[in-house]
Amino acid sequence: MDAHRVVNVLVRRRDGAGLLRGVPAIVLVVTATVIPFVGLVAKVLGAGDVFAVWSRPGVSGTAWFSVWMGAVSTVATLAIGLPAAWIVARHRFRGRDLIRVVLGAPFVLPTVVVGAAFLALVPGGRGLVAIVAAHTFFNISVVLRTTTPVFSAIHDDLVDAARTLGAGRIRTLREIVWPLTRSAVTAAAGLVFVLSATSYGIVRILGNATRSTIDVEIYRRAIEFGDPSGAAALALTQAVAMLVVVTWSASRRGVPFTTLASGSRRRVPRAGVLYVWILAVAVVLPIGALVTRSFRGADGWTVSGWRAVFGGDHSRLEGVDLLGALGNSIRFAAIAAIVAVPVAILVARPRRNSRLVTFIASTPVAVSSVIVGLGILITYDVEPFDIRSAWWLIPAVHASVALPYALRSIAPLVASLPTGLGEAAATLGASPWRAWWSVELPLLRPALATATATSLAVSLGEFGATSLLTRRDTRTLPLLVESLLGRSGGVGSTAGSAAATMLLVLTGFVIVVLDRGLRT
Amino acid sequence: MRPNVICSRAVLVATIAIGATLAACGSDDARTTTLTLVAYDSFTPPEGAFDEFTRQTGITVEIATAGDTGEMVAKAALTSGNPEGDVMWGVDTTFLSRAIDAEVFDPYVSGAAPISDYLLATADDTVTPVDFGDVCVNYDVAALEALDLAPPTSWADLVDPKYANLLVTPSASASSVGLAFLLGSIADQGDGYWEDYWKALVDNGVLVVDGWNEAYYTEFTRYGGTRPLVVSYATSPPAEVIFADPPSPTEAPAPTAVVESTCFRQVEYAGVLRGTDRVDAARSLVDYLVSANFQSMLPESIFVYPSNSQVELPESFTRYATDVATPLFFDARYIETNRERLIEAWTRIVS
Repeated sequence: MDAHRVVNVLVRRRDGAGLLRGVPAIVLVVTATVIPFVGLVAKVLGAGDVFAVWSRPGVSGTAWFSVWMGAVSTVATLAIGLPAAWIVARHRFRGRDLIRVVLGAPFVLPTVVVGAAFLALVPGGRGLVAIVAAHTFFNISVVLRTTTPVFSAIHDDLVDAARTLGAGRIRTLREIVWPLTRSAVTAAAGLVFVLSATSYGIVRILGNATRSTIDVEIYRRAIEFGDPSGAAALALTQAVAMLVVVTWSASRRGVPFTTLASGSRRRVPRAGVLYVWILAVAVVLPIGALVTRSFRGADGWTVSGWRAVFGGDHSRLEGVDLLGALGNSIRFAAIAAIVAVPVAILVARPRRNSRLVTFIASTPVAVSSVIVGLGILITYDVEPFDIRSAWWLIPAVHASVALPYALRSIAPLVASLPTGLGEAAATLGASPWRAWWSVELPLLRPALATATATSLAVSLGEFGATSLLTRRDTRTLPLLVESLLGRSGGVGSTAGSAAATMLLVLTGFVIVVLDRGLRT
Repeated sequence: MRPNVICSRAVLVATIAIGATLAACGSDDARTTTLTLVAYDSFTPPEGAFDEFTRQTGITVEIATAGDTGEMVAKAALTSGNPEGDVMWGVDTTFLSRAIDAEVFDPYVSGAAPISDYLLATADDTVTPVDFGDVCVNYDVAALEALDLAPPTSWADLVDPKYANLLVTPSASASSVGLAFLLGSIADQGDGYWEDYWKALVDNGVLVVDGWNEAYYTEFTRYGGTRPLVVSYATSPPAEVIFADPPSPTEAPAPTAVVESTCFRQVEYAGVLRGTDRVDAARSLVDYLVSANFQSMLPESIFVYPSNSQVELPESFTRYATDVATPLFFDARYIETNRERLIEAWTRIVS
């Protein structure tokens, strides 16, 4: 057998395995997202309903608003986030770890809290500008998480070589950096667009009650108007449109390149450091306003909100169990990450991952969580398989929702791994498993850290589906925050802000530990 | 009539998959010792509230929270006939008709406690009224004094330029409190006339925000906002006193008060969920929910008035809450039929 055929056989074998490795991802997403979604749509949607709902007043306006507001938010987020990601990924400077944590934090905050934090900072600051600003604030972390692994993998020598050969900054950027990072950047852009266009909490709180996205309209029809078929029609449309965007943006292929050492150790220009610090301050301000609010009662400063959430003041807030909610949140997030990250690793294989698998693994991003939550109630309700109230449904849904994000953190780096490495190992007699374990996996460590942190963060912040599946004893932190903020009397506001602060601290801790533990 | 959904589906599954689940479709089984009470998130009775029921019947009560009232009813309507619990607490006037139309309930009106005829008349012979409360314009006493303004007393005052830019309300399309305020204005002004009233409100600078908590905790002057008039509950003043921080001196008046003529009444109901296999036990739980023992815990835990007319109100209510004599009210059927139309029209006006 000549060498050419050996390679061919190897490649073909891996090809078949591509689909096989996708099986866990397919099982996870199909059971936790696709079946409930299709189940609900099939139950409530008649043939004519798909079009009928669009003739309702205001509905087509929400679709148009979703699209253009999503586009504006995406441009703003990329313009601000990409330079920051580049600086954080490629340079060592004092405070870098802190900045990474700060810029990564907003993503996990329940959007209800992000909205409240913005209002605490700019009282009365509602409207379109506020919505776009909040989406930028919220999604910079998505850009960071998706692009830093690739940015940090571009070797200095490449850039230096281009410069030495006479290319200017712009030309180096266009002909060297862009081809290498294109796949990560478009993936980030696609994700940010989908997250902004399907935004729910931020638009509700900052939209002056008059702006509404399709996701808001889905909720209103499903819950407030008692029009599940209209909601299902919109959800179906939204899912299809967003899947197209996500699939297209995730399928852009970058130029493969070799990464044997990661990143650059060189100092960053002062202006760059200043930029990320300013950005970090801009992110901290609303969060700071939130923390302040946890100490701010109607009649001055107080710690009673904190006392109340820690159970020191039982008579005043019935049914509040901060430690219980904290425990649930941690438990669910851990399970979600333990499931989602390995499943994502299996799917994200160099060039050999099946399109079908990638497509299916992306669906949770595109699907309305309200519809999934309601769908689970009506599809998994048949005795003896009535699992609607099973606690593990919640981490299962979280894992499914986290999978696309985990995949996006890993896939760009995997796609840029040199093909030769695995094949060299195979030629030297290593089994595919061994080649993967000892050669490829160590190179993926930064991406794994990011994927794990992202999965934990997604689970910690998930609100829509959780709120429909939770029971009192499975309540998570975001739900506790929401419920506290809805209470009469000053203590609800301070205690709600205190619980939101706890959520923030927990997430910051997760990101720091993972960065330290897995990256270095 | 539809056949029993649980049984027919279980039979189907059993035939295909396992084949031994028929037994579960019989009468009461070992699980009779626990009943599940489905309730909205903010249902927070004191610890031990069901101990007396357990002592009397040997049945323990598990609470399954189900989101806010709208989410709870949407879920119940979708799972009608195969419910997530045995009894539901808290479907209110604005959602009752939808629940009834979706056949969520197995009709049962408890006769175990004295409940006023006017409350019973609203229950459609399907559910039992368990509590009621009002949504009214609240005002910050000190803030109005600082502005040298007398508190408003009527709907007309709210559109008076004297009170320009002072009122904040949650959105009628996103908040039950906001919807109640809209319905109150319609009950007062009349369907067909309320649009002009709302245009006048907008011209007079009403601020519309998403939810109750933003209206109250962000925009209301008492919590650092700029609006001394806020749409909230009639029981917000006693809540201000009970949750005052630091605790207020016992003789001090409540820092907020309500504009009584703007109050819109909402009644909440409890019912037996259709499809429960423990109908008798579920009915006895509904009886307990209106018992004097349980009802006396409601005012200071979930800030509503008990439906049981023999229950005495606590001092915080008799002293600080306004007992609204003639609240505005709408039939549940009217609300269900017109909700979408009214909200769409309202959204156009405030946009």
